[in-house]
Amino acid sequence: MRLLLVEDDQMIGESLQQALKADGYAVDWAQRGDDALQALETKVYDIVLLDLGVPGVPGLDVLRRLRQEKDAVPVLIMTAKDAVGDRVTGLDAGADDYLVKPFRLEELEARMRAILRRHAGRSDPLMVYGDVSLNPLTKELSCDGKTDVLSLREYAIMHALLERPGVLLSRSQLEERLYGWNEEVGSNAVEVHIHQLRKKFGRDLIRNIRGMGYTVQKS
Amino acid sequence: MTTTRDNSEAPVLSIRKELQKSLMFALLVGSILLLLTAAYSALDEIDELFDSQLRQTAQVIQQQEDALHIAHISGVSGTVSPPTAQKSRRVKGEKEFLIQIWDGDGSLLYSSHPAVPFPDLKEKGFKTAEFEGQRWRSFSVRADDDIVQVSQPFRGRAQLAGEIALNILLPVLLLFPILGIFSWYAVRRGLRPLVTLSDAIGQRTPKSLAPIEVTPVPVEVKPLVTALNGLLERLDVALKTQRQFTGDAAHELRTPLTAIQLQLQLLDRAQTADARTIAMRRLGEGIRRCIDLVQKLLTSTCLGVESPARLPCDLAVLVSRALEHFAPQAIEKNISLQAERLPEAVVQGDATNLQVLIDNLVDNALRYTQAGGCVALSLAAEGGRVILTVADDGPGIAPAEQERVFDRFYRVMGTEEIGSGLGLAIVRDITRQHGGEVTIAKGIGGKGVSFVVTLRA
Repeated sequence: MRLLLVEDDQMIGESLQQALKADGYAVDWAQRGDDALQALETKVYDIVLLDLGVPGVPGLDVLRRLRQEKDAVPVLIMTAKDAVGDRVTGLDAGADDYLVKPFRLEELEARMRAILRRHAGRSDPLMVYGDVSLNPLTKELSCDGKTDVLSLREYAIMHALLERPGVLLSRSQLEERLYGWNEEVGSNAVEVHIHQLRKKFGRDLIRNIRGMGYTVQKS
Repeated sequence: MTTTRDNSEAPVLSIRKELQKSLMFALLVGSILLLLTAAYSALDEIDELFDSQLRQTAQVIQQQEDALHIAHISGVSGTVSPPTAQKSRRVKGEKEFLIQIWDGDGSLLYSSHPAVPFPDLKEKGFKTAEFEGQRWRSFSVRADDDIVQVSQPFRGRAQLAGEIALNILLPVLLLFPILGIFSWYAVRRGLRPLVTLSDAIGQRTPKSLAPIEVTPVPVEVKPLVTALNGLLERLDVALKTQRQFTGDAAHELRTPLTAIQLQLQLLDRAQTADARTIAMRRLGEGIRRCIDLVQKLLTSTCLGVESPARLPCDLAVLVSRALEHFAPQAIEKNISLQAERLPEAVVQGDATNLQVLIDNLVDNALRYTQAGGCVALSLAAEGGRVILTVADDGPGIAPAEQERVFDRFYRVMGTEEIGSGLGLAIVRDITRQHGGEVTIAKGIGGKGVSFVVTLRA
């Protein structure tokens, strides 16, 4: 999953980037509001973590502009302002959730999962398609009676494929979900991870339509 | 109105009591004066009246003298006595007269009160004399050879005057209670704005310091209301500033605390020794940053509260200390930290605060100057002023931001350095505290920025 982190504080940004990468997200980090807008114009994100106090373009303006352009990407606001009025303003501007600093990583991650779930129109925390089910919390995949914990890349691929089950995703689309800015992408990285997944759960888990892309097989 | 909220030890001052005391005293003095003048003028009038009565009586007898004389000559023996008070030894009251007639030889022909041996005063017209311990008034006229003398003691007159004066005094005495009641009401009415005012003040809390509006305001109370409103306004501003500062401080503390929280969790999640080492180092940095912020918040708060010392301090010594303190940091960042020349520059001030000022400027310059850069300090003493300059060849500050860098919690945008946003605010506060000023100029070789602090020597 590709995530845009908008945070001006060096220490908080570094820590969040590290933690979220370890949670399986491809993290792009923008330290200014205008940089964030530029990133949102050029790339598709699954979720945006937005600090309201960023320089350049203020966080709230980034959010408003996003919604004006009918971009429905889920936005989670992180801010040190905790007055009720600030929360209301943030949510009314189109934010999906609001987190007050300082917060624990667990809460941030749980809220992100909840937002992504709602956004995909699911109420079940598990992502289920046929007899394939993925648990975003434990990163466990169950298929055909087999259950195993996935590596981060494997998880990212399965998450992308199960988000809209049955839809074909090209190799480059999958790569985008896997890697943040400044991250080296191996030429056949996607194939390698898919190979690993098939080895664990059988060839039928992922169907490859040559020249088109990949999709989850409904057995 | 007379309720007092002060402790009972303090003497209670009551405007009403004071006013009533003064009024009653004035009334007392007034009545005494009134009584005295009334008595004197009554006495005067009575004198005139009685004197004219004396004269009239004497003149009437003078006209009747012929008849008396005839009676005398025709052999009426003894004295002619009037029918009343013949035997009386005294002349009583104000309506009685002593009438005496002597012949040319000085022998008494007639006396209305034979028992009263009042002498012939041997003088015509009015005469005052002393007789038997009393003052008498008499009038004598000559009728042919005889002398007619009409006399009366003064005592009666004084009594009458006293009675008249007392009659005047009685209504005046009635004035005391009437005036007392009226003044009580008047004072109560007059002081009513004070009660309203005290109610209005009582309603003020730190959260509602709106100006007091009492209408109508008596001229005597208006200065009080004006002064109070001035105080309320200053209090309101001070409280708002304080609240703003506390809010800003809490907000500013959240950021480094968030960083620490995240760093701690990353340390907890670190799975390799390397990851743990990195996480530990980052956590340490986060904690140092928090400590720095708290330290600066304290300094900033104390600056507003404590009054600074005014002792001679040599800035050259303080600059040398700063150089020593920051040398390791400069070496680590590969920045040349130097002092051009340090002449003795003594100012009157607080050495601790001035050291904080210099340290903050050097710290700030080291923060924002890139590796390989240069930070230079210089001192100059000229014309009763001492000028401290801290210059660097860093990225400089955009003219639009130069005004704002001294604001609390303001950080220059787009810099990666983590500052508290308080350092320069503290510099400004300390400079102002010492009656000096701090300005921004071009830095070394036209690059970067220099902070110029001017203090009185």
